Amino acid sequence: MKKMMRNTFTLSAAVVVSAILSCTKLDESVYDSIIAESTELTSDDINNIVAPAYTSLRALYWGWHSYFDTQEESSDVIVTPIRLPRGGWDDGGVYRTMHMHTWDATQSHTRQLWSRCFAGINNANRAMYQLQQIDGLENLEIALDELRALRAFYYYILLDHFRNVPIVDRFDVPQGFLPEQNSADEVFAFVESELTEILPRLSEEQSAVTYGRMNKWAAKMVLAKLYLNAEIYIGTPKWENAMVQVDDIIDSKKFSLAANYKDPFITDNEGSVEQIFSIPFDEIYAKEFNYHMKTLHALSRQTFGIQAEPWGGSCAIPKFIDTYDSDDSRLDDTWLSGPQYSATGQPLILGNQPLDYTNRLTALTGSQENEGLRFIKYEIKQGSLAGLGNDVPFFRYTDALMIKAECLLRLNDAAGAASIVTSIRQRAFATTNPDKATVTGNQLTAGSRYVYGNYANGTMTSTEGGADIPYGGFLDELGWEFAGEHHRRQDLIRFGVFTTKSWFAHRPNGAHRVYFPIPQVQLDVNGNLQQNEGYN
Amino acid sequence: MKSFNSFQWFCIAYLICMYPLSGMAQAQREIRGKITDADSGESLAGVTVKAQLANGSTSTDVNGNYSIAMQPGDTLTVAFLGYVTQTVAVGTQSTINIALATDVSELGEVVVIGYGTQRKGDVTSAIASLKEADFTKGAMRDASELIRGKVAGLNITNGSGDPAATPNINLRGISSLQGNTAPLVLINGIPGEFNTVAPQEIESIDVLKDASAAAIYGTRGANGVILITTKQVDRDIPTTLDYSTYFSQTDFYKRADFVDAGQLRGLIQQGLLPESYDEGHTTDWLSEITRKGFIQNHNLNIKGGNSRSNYVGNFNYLGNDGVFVRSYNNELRLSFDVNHSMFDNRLKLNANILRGSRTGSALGDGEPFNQEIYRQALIRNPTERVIDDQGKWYETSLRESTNPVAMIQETDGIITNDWTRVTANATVSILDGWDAKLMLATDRRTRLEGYSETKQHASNTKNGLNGYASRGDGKSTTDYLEMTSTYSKTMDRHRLNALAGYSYQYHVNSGGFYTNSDFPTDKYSYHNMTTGAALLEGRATMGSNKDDDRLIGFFGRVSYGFDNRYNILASVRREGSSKFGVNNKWGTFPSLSLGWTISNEQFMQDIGFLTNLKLRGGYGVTGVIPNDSYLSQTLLTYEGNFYTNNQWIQGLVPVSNPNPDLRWEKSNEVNIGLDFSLFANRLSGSIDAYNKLTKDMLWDYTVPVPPYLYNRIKANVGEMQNQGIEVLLNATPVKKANFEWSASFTFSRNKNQLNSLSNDLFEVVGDYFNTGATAAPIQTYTHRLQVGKSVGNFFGLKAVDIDENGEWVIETADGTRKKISEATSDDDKQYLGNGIPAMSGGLTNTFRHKNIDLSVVITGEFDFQILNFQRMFYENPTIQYNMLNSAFDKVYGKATLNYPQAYVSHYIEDGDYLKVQNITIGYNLPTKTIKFLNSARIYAAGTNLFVFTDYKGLDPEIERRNQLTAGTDSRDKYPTYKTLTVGLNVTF
Repeated sequence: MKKMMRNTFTLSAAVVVSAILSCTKLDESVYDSIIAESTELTSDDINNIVAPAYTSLRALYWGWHSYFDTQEESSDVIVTPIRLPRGGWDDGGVYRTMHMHTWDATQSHTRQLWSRCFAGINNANRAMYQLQQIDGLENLEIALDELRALRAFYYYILLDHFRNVPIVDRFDVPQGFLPEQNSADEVFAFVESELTEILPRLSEEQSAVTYGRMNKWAAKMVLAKLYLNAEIYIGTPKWENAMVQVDDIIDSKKFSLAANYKDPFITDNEGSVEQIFSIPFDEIYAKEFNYHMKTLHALSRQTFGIQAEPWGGSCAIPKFIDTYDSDDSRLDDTWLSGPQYSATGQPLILGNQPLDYTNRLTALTGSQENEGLRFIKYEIKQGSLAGLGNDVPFFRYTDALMIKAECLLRLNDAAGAASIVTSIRQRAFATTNPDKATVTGNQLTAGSRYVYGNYANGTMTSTEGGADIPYGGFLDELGWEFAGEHHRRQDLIRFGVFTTKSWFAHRPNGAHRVYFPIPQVQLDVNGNLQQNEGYN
Repeated sequence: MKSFNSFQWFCIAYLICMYPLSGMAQAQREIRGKITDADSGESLAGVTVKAQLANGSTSTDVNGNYSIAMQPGDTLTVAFLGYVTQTVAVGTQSTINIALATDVSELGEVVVIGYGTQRKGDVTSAIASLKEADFTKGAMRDASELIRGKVAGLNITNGSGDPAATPNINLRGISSLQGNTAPLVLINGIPGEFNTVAPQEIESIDVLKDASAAAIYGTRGANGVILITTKQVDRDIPTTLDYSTYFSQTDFYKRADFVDAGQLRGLIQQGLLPESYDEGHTTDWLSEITRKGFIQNHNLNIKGGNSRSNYVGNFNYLGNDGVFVRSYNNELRLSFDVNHSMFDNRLKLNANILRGSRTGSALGDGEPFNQEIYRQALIRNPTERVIDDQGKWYETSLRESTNPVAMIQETDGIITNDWTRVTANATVSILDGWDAKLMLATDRRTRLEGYSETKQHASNTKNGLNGYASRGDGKSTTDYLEMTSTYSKTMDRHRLNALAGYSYQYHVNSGGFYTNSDFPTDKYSYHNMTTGAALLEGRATMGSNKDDDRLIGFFGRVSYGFDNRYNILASVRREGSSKFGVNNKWGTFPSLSLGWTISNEQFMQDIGFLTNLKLRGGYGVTGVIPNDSYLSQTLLTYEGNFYTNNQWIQGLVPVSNPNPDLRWEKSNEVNIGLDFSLFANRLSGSIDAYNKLTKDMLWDYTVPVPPYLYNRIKANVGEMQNQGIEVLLNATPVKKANFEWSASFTFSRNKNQLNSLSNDLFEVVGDYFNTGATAAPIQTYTHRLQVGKSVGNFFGLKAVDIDENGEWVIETADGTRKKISEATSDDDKQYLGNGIPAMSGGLTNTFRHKNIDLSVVITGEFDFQILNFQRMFYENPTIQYNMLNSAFDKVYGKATLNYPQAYVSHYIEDGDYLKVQNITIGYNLPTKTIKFLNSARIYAAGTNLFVFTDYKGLDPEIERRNQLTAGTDSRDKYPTYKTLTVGLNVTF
């Protein structure tokens, strides 16, 4: 029996040991994702590879606390006050800090803008890397040039906001690599040299194939903007350089002014004759465009048949509205005002009174929910969803013309500038008072009509005026033409207003406010980064 | 290996077939006898009787009789749980009757430890062991309520009255940043939850509190291990049928004091609110959507058999209709356990099947209850009507305001969960004291949920969806294989136990979810999803997922005791998981613990009042595993659309950063304990002190992009420390024939500190991160976790005054005062308290007078703060929604608040409380005269009856789902309820 037991034991021990050895493998199966290391990309994947470099643009523009806000909420055009009595859309005060220029390195906007730009840059670098891995890819160089142009565009936005950002131009960085910070001069030079080098090779085509993509004209607009603001970025004006770029665009004859001011902003604006570079949105495929939700009062849902309830927050600063000529049709094309009606013509009732968007604000820390005009430059089609399908014409032809006009003005050809501005104004006064379209060089060179100074409860509490602003007349023209088109912050800085004037509750809060602080979260994770001057 | 392959099946069959060959007869004779209780003289069934030389073993029958074959000069060993083991030398007699003495020391009692049991006297680590007799009796929601307040350091809270809610459980502080701090719950050795089995089925619950005990469970043991053992038959018993039932009525413990219609009109008359607020009707919105809840439970248990073949079957039904109308949760559980021993007890087979099914309301999309309904009932104008003149749900144009009655009535939904667990065990006795055991089990869970909203729901009347429906499903399968071998040997004063084992676990999980809207009719509900037009318009959504993981462990344990004075236990587990990086798949988790029973030393023998005194000390390492699979790989997915050439193309994007260095989060814990028992066990207890240091905490670390692909990476970062003390006291102040009073007291205190948030690769420069969210319109974070401080710290503006305009005046950390509208920076904020109770305790008093018994369970949590969201949002007269009655009270006795809702310290309150959790009074009916009835008991019970606290909210026992944001009392969580219960237990 003992022998039998021993045999039994030996045999069973062998079985157990072998069973265990077969069960030490810790393999896993991935079902609902793709493992990068084991996936070989082919030329069929080229659009999927390039895609992320572009899709980052949408979040960058209309994403929560992003580009639109940094350009507009920090300016004298748009504000998001606390709404009484219901609180409204305040996001813990981030819009108030944008308005008051009291943001710090933890401000959500700076964080979002930085990470969205660098996501785009990283995606562009990765796409370039992945494309290079595909054997015998046709047109590889064309694809790489386009991605480099796109990357330069992201760097232009970073330069505009942060100045001193790290330049990372490759994906396959060594282990443990942490980006080194570059100076504004270096970033400027990088954008300039990249674009200058690849411009001759970029496509000149303006068609469905290049729509929403970096072609030669889009790249030239980036370069023109870079030169236009060169004095701000690097201390050296480059008006001539800017003009060269827009002249090429104008001379190409590929673009023209649209018949109506609203045309570039309609729901189906893809075919606009003005569009140079657009960021495509879609109600189904790309739903980030929800500004109508943020600006409209909940009741306005019935006006536009929106299939969601708007949140009611952002509106125009009354003194900006006051600068408009009453015959300027751009006022009503851009801003929703007065008593509101449903789609079927019934008055909208708020409490027991008609909803009336008035050009008045009580205070930043508490305005009535009907106060302030609402931004409706983009068509809100009947039955819209929470995300609009209008594309954002990031660069449009009028912008090229106005850059040319500004350069002429700065280079002492005020009459030449006035002639371009007049041609643009004709559209705005065509149906009201065509005579008013004409402006003179003197008007452009003279001060602004904007009555700067603090304002509360519908009246000025201190008056600074705008007559002392050099080229203030031209700044006003930019304001009317490009209200809500990510222009205002950059323009106010260029015209010396951003950190010197007061508006609504805002007071100047330091010259360093022309750029934003490096986000704290980035300083925290990358020891190579130094905080921007003034934010320490 | 997806499941067991043929090779493994062979191996199992082999184990079952080959071992049990033994037992050849020699010159033997038979001895008979009866085993009785020395005190009562009652016969004892199921007592193990062993013949040493003949190497045979049997157990006594129902009448305590046994017969066994003996060799000349043999000795009999008679052992029975709770009694002192006796050894008798056999002479020439043919009948040996033995009276067994009760083991008064209780040290003979068996404690369940990982993969086995241990004599209580030999235990060297911090283990709380509760038997059925110790459980709270009455209407128990799940197994956790049985032991609530009875295990020092185990904090069980029920912060929600949702019938489908599960308790929040936490042991010995927060040792992980992952949020989930629930201990591992094993039911008969297989992972489950507190509600996997019916409370009535449970025989014992053992809690492995310290790492020296839990280390044998390696990666899953860092938050402690709770071992639930269900009732088993191990001796001859007649077929016994138990039926127990109870019925409870439930109602909210407290209702929030919002302005009602009459009060609103009063406020208008005082000029505090505009007249337009009075819509001319009177509606109590909360009453419109609530009712008295009702719970019923029926449990039927049948068991029978003998020491060789036996079975236990259990059927349980729980029906819980919640206080909110249409909210319910029904659970049905069936279990069957059968045992058979063969070949002279050399082979023991066990099969167990467990089926459970839970069906509950889906008043929200994929969730049992939609908190928005409750919120709307609270904040809706009480002068509005429910239904308008056209018979439709009355709606206003007020933003974010919908009719709560419409929301609750215009939905249709169900959530069902089904689980099946099949377990097979085969235990082979290879040699005396040497056993080998194989366990195979599979646990299969399916979930199916459906939800719809009609065209009368706000999703259409306000958002134009024109009918909405969703459907989801999930399936999870876990296969287990476990092989263990144990050896135990007792020689004179030496007692040795050894264990070696292997465990394998494969888990695969998959699910799907899809939505559609714009339906032609409401009639389909969620049963005909394709008819929604949104699908064709591209507005329907759809998703599915699948993942798997594997966990493999090798473990061993040796325990040795000498002379009932010195004990040592050492264990080690080597465990590997597929979730970890290629460089760190395997981890080692050792433990060592020592025990010294001082009272058994010679020099202590003179101290008469001391029954037991034992000093314990242990050290162990346990781990935490990440929730997600595949973290070590670069995962890509198609996401985001790119418009080119009139087409939308999906982008191929990374969704995570790979971390090939990802490794185990490890906790090192030292535990020192003292067990004592005085005055013949009339007073006993334990004191434990521990220091737990968690290293390599798993954390989603923010990284720069580029160079990283994605802005977060799961990495091992930082160090956390928990130190604490736990006290347990059991006393029997009065013990007389007709009256007995026993009491149990538990107390624990824990101190938590984050030591670091960095490792060699990653560093948080600011040494803190902010977490928690107040939600719109306040929208800020609530908590800050900083190095050198505790988890759960509130961080925000400290309100100290109010100005004449009704605006908050806040004070910064350096003592500067400013108006809140000027406090826009993080620098203006400071620490405002902590949401995790530093101390908690429980007190159970049980009284028995003749046939009547009474038990009272009191629990408490102390030294913590609660952020009262309800006050923060609704104790504010500037809102146009309905508000708390206290909204117009003068703040600081000075001025009425006239500032938008804000997160300030004014809403952070002390949460300390004492709560009468349970009172049960029972009566055992005299059944001696009724032949077919063995016992019968009726009882009445109440839970959540009284709370002593200064907290102004509904109930200071709040939900604790995420410890990082502890102390937030949501403004619209399903309020807790109190119950009144009557119940009956009968045994046939």
